[in-house]
Amino acid sequence: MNRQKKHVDALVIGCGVAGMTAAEIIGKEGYSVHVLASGYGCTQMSSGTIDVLGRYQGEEVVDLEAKLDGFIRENPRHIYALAGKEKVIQALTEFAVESASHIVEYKGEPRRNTRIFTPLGTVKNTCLVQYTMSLNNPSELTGKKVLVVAIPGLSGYAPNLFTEGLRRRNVKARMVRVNVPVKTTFQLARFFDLEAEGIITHLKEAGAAGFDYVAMPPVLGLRRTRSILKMLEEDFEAHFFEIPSFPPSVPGQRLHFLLEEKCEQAGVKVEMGKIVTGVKIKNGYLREVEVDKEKITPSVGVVATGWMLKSILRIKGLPFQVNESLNVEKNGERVENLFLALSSVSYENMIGLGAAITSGYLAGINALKYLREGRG
Amino acid sequence: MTLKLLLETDKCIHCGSCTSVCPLLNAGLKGDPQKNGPDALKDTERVKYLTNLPFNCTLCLACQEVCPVNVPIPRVVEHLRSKVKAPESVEQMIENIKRSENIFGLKSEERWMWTFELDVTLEERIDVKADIGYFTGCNSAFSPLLSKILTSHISLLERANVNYTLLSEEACCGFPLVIAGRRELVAPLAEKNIENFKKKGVKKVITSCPACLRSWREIYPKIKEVPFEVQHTTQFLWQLVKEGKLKVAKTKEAFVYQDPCELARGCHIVEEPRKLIKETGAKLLEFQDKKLEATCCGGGGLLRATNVQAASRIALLKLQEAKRLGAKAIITACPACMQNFVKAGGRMQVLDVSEIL
Repeated sequence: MNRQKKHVDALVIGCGVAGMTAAEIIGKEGYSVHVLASGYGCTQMSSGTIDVLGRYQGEEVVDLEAKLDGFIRENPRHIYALAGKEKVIQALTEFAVESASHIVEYKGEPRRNTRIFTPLGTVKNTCLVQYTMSLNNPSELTGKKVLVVAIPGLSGYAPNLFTEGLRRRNVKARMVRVNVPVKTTFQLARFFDLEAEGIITHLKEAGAAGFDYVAMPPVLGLRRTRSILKMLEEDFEAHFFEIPSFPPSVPGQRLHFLLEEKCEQAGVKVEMGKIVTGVKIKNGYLREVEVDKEKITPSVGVVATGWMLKSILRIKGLPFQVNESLNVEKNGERVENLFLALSSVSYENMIGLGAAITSGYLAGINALKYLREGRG
Repeated sequence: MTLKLLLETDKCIHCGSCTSVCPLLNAGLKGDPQKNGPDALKDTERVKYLTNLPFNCTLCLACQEVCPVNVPIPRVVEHLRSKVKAPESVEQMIENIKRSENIFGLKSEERWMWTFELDVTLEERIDVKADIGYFTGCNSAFSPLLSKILTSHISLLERANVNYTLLSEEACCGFPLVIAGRRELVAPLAEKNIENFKKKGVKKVITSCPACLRSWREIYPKIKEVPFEVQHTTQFLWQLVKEGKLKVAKTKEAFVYQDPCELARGCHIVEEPRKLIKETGAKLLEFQDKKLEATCCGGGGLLRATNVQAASRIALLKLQEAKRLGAKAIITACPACMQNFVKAGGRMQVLDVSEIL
């Protein structure tokens, strides 16, 4: 077989939130970074909100910073403990600040949790939310007139439960049905991207005018969200916001686009449809990664394959344990230039995207440090 | 049909779950369920340039099993196969079925070559009235490599005193046509098979080939009413064992069981073969991926006919794993798996479940 060898400074396996975050951090500094992945991963399976620590020891977490201290003491093997509180907050702050100039902006304060309505009309704590969801907030909505848009047949969305939940919290909510011939939130979001005007006419016919707030399923476009939101608010003179939906979710997809955009600007090359079939580790160093019919020799590797697809189990010759700096260990021996993000670090105590961002950030800066010092 | 499929594929969220379980990609070969299926269908222009990519697929259903949004990827691949020019070997197979109603294009008298190995006379079993109809499937009936599947099944049926019959004019089940993208040609074969068994007064049809089983269960009812229950032989044999009608041989060897894709993911039959193996007292070993998550042997979806190297490579990886596990033999319940393992080489014995009973 015709096998070629290719050198890159950093090779990232997996393009979920952790992998892309790590890739962007390394790529920004001018190193050549290559991301290999089987597909977009599970980012769309998340709700797109960055949860860091919602409930802890049976209590709602409001002051995140204070509760993190306790959590870190109790769970010394969790990624938050490995990173340290300051790094966690730093990673989230950087993420939120950088998102402002990209496709989707995240709002929120990394040191405190915000509360939003869930698709079932209950309330949950989360840290950062997309700007389309930032009005979905119990304290903001109390006493206001809210219209809930229901789309019959749309999967993963329960407008009646949501409306009921709003009413229980003293929001004057009304539900209105809008007939659009689609099944999934993704299809509707693509529909919005293509011809938002058509759907706006539908909304007007259904009588969506005269409210302070309008609640929609998370379908306000995948890529054109900003202009769609502006158009809606001008037409109806009301504030529009999105309710999170069950997976697969459009906000999750937007989060992926955000990371993809950041990676592109950092000069990172992302390749989909690739499966890593083998890893060669010699004398405590990652030497070679085998993929497709190619062999890649990276200076440093980051594995961020996630626990959901279990892809990590399929990579032959890859050890599992990690130490404090997310270095991989094989039979007790440290693999100096291989870093692991999320999947093996904290999957017994998953806290969603907050952990993903933290571990990607940590793996990224550690890999960067390794490259700068020019070891190996 | 295409519009419905298009809507279904539109659900694709590009998560890559399908890619990460593809047996071809995991063996370092070309092939990609997502590019092959949903993406290709959406991009109608590209379909023209796809040469044999849709045929580079084992149709093992693993992608469909893991898809979080339930895109029927194998169905899409099947549709694309009907749109592109089929490889010569597949065209030949389709011609064979059209001409002589079996995949080899042989005369129907040659169907009985395998009975020479039997020590019972089968003549009073052919085309007679009986409760059970045994649908042999063309692969096992014509291929000398696989005839042992039929002989062992016949001896078990005889041992359990089952009142069964075989068809002299058995037509291909039509499954090879379906996976070659020629679903429209199946109807006459289905009607013939159903009519033939009806005339014999059969109450239950059993088959040792999972592909035939899927055809009988999923495709035939859409064409014509199937007035009898259809079972895989492992189900039927386990029933006999449970009822005490069949005593199985005892052994102490260690075997590993390969779940045939069509049987496990296609028909959700995973427990019966295992129970049968355990009944013999044998030690049952398991591959890392088993039951509904089992990886394909590489012989499905006509891959053996369109890309021999790929089919063999996937099989060899499986054989290596079996060797590592310390198995004496691989046990399977599908002629296609057996054929692929045997033809791929490797020094591992390959057996059908019925052979150890």
